[in-house]
Amino acid sequence: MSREMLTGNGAAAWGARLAEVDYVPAFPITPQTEIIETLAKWIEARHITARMVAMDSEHSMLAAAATAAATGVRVFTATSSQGLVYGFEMLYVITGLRVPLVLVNVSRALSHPITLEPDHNDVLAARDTGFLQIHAETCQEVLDSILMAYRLAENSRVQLPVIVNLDGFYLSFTRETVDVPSPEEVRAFLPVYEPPEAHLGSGAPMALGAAVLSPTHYTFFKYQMHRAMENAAALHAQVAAEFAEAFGRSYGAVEQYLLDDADYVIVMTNSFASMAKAEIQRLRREGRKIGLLRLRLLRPFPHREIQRVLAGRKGVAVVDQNISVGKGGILYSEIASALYGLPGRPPALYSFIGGLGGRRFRPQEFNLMLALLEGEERRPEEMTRPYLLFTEREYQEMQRLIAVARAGGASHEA
Amino acid sequence: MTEIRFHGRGGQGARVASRIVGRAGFLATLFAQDLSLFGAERRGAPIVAFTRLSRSVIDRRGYVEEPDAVIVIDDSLLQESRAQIFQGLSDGTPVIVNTRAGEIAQPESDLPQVTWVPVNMTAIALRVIGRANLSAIAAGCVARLLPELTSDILSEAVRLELKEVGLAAAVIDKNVIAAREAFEHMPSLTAPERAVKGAERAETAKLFPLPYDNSRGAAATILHPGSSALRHTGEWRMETPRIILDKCKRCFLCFLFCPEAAITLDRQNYPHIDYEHCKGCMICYQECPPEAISRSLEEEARVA
Repeated sequence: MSREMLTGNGAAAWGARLAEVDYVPAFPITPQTEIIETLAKWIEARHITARMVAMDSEHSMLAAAATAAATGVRVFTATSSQGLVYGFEMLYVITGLRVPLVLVNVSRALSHPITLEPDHNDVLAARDTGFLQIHAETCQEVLDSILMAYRLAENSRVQLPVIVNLDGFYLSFTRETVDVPSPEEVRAFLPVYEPPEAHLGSGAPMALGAAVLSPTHYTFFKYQMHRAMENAAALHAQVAAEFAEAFGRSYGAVEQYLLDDADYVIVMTNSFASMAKAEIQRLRREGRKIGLLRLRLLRPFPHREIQRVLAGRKGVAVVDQNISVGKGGILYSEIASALYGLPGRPPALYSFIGGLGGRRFRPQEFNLMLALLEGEERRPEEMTRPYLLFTEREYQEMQRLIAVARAGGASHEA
Repeated sequence: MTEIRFHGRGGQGARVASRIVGRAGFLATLFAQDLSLFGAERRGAPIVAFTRLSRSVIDRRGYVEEPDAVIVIDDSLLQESRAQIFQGLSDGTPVIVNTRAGEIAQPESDLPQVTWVPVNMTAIALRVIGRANLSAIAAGCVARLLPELTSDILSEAVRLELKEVGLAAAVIDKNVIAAREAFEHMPSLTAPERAVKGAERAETAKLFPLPYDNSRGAAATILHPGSSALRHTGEWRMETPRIILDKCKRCFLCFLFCPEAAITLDRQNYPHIDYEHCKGCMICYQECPPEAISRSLEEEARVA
């Protein structure tokens, strides 16, 4: 083991390197490109023996990843935002082929308007595809999650691909201390992949992804993926325990932060959870009983863990860094469904939309969320609407910008 | 409500027939619905289409499971179990069959005693239209089952639908004549309107906990190469190529062009057609330089 200063992208590249991946189809996109650049450098320097192929788009990249994985080799690839949605069709093809691989997504808000900073509408668009999803908070967790992801994906009771997600900029270009395990340590945890099923080879012709024109056939294959996800949920605990044993770091499907005696819970994901933890510490110093639930495994969705953690709490605020336009926060809906009918479910369950396009949270907004949770009035209609975290000052700034954009030629220094 | 199921082979006009009858019902101010089901199949493959006509709102969609009448535009489908002609039929259900034979032999013994109605649609088509376009004629046969559908309404429906298909006015005129002739020559039968089945009891389904399969079974993967040959696509053939070996120059072009690999060469390099898989695309007929391949309607080829 060595201790390094690594960006999230660097940690992702190290994850692929330590997993001794065989094949990396690649296409650049900010803020992911550093991952494949790093792997390319290592390949050129013969530090690793993986074969990298630059493709003409993310769609081709994912098609190449699918077919390579079908030959039984270990495949790694990475993309972000527009790239993920450009290749979207292939996500369903990969899962339908039931081939294991790891795709790192570096979250970046979706165009239009085009932008660079992160939110989670890109990765959550893929929530129904059949990819497992692990969302990382730290650079260390990026590396560790990739190693765990291969164990999950390649298990004969799963055989599904995994997306490991990290936030653009806040992790991708942020260096922090990362323990990099030795290749020997990793090999003991993650041996060379031996496909449990027949795989494609030059001497073994087979038809993959055959058409099925019967609803019965389609239902069978589709629901098998759901069964595999259920298997993955059980397997995750086992893989996490083995990982903790091997490397001393423990990851649950969810992370519980200062929750033991908490009456109120903030639910978040990914790297902004670090900033939420700081706010929760501040509120704790003020004597407020509040904690954080960070969802780490998004697919399979950890219904039982969420039920166990949230039962008996007085109020829960789900903070979505995404928006299902016309509905609200995506994770809010999923958590509400996990709690429906649960004895002791929290009487208050509020939805907040924040962090779109990388917008940072303000300390005052955590106070606001807590105040709403503590409020006596429990009007159901207030709980189904999302609250947007946005200030009057930001609104005024927008009005100024809009005036500039529409004023046709005059000079407008704000 | 009257539910009619149309069976044919791709290209014969079953879909258009279902639309003519649907249009006719619409013109007769009935509630009307028509649809057709397509797979990946092509010309010659079994296809199925449906029309629902009713005096009240139609509360069904999709496949007609229990038809009040069935029309079979190609009698070779009676022998093809995959076509499922007999699914959901009851004693007395009219089954109109395009056949040159005067009567139809019951294909299987344990079928309900349906009312067979043999009609030589192809003969009408060849005589009146000049080619085997069967949609208007099939529609004419079916229209006779519904008292609301008059000969004039049928004619208007044929005109509207065939115009949409893009046929020339002269061809449409011939189709109208053919449809009216089929309509007039149909025996007077009426598809019985069934009582609404809404009040019938249904058993409660049992939940089946679909178990996890290993991934070999859980993806649409075929490990046994060549299994597509198990499907006898020769049944799709509507025209038949025949190689006249006396004229054959052994140039292999038919062998090279055959998209189904249904032509093989013998030791003397003479080509032979595998009729279990030849779909009758007639590409070999088009390509053969010495015109050593003949074409005939499949029906005639079968008789011969």
